Amino acid sequence: MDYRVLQKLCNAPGVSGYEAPVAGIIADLISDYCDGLEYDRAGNLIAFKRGSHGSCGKRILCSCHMDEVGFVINHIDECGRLLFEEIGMMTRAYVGKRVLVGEKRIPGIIAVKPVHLLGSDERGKDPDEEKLFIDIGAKSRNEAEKLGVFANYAVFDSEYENFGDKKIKAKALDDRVGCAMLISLLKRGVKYDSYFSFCVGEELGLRGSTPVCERIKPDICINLECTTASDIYGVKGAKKVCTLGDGVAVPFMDNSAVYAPSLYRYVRGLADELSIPCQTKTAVAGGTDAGAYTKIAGGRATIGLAVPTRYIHSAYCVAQKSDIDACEELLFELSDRMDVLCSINERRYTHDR
Amino acid sequence: MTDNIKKLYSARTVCGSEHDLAVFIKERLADRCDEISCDDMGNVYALKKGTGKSCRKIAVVCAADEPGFVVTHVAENGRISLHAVGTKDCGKYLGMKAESADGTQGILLSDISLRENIGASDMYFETGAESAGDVTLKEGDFISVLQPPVALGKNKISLGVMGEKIFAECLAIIAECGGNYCFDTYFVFVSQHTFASRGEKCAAYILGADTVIALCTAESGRLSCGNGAVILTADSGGRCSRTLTKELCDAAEGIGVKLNKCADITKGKPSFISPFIAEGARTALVGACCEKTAEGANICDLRDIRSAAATVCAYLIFEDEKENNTEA
Repeated sequence: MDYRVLQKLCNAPGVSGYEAPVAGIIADLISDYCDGLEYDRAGNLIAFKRGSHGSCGKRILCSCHMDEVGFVINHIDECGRLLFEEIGMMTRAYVGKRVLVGEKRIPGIIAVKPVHLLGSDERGKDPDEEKLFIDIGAKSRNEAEKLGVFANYAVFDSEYENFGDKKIKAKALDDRVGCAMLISLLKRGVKYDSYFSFCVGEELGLRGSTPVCERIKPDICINLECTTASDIYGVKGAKKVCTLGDGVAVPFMDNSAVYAPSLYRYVRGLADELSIPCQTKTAVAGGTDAGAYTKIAGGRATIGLAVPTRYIHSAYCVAQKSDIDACEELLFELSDRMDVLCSINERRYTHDR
Repeated sequence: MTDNIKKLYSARTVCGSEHDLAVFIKERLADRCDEISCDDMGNVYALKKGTGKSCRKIAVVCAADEPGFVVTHVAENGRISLHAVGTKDCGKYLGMKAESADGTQGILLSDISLRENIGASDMYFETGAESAGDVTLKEGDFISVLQPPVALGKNKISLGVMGEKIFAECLAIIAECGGNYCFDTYFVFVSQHTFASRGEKCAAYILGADTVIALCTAESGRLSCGNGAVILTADSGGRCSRTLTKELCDAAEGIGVKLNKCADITKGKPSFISPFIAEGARTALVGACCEKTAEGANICDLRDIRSAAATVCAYLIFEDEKENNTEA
């Protein structure tokens, strides 16, 4: 993994609906390495790469999403305070965090009523979203409006950093990690003709992957994601989901999809065979673009690979480099075996499974 | 019919892992249909090709998956944690016998009391294992509830927690009775219905049928078993086509089948028809009354199931005649 690419991607803004900055970076990075590159009308960036062995007779799609959680400014009050709506699922842990608003990257903070002024019924509770606002230092509505912040997005203002024992912290690791891995795969080359989709709008409900699936009509998909690692809250058993440092997480099911059981087993077995650190995503939680791929346009066989990530959907997500490397390695190995995966999939509903 | 039902219910078809279903359908209908195929979702399509006189495509569909569980974690002490698949009402599975694909049998249990709300991930599978080493199951393995149907007297049958699956038998009967119609007829055994109608969404796209008749149970309090087939005018996802519903009623009347009409718009219940409506098909719902569903007993009357099958068969025959007359 080229971590400089990941750093560049994580630091770029790309809230759902406003993915252009990230898409531009990705397009620049891959344009020399693919045989076709275009945006669809939804804003998805779709690349095509010829394989060294040509086509395996099936349409292969490797996918990730470019967007990240954030905010959209929906009102400016007389005092110049920016009221907002969340884009994507988040906890209110964003209170007090720094944000950058709009293309001009105007610095702001997510402010809330100070504790001294809270009534007894308000203390110890998450503040209501309606009572939160972004303070950009404007004194009036007029002053704020002139900055072009209305109906614009806000994104966490946090820099990618290395820390701890080969860990990284950054906003938007979900799913810039996936983007960085697909870029690596494009640069390395593929054995069989493959499509690559960098999707928009995943955090808003799989809005990008749906048209991608309808258009490409892949026979098989590999979907790259980040998944929650609840390994530090005293959670035990399946509810831990996965553990940082234990390798790439492979899901068998989440709230949006049941992954083809035979493919899931093959992927887990292959990782063990190649000694690639790998774990099962144990909780049936969350949803990904696989929800669209397994259902849209007749449903496509889909494999999920995920990087365990703590504090996902926050200003500082944390991931372990060894997990990212393991995910990338498994992606490369699977990419070389797409013919095998397709043949396993074709045998799913016969005696010869 | 009872033997066939027993065979059907012995096929493990937990939502998302319906491999056995495809095998069962292929064995059952291979000689009766022209093509049998599956899609990546697990839906099974049995096609009876038309004579070519009509370009219409009629589909008769049923939900063939069943609620079950998937292994999410095997603890050091051998406890096997589960997540429910295709059901939210986990309380009714407590204490039931279950089995995995590798033949491991056990009991479904939870630490949460029945008085509380048992969540989808609050169940575990007690197999008697004392350590992880005793367990052959892995995360991602599916667990089927072992609840064979129980014949109640001459005509009634208790289907346990798997009420809808009876219509796979009903659909198989319709497919077996199918003649050489002038239009293509698809008999579709839908998987992952209980997972937000995901199977229907795939089938609707793949088929592009102009007419879809879905078979399903009716849980209306006004109805009781043994009173004939039921025509539903709507389900939780949409309203049926009035003309198609009328055509089905006429077909039933034409062969003397007693019909009841109702709508089952139970909120939160996956829709049988909305994905097909979204793809532009005319849809109708035919089924039979199911009693004691909330208690997990799902009692049906086999005469009603046969009436539902006869209604659909009659409709197909009448449509064939109509098309042929139009041709002439």
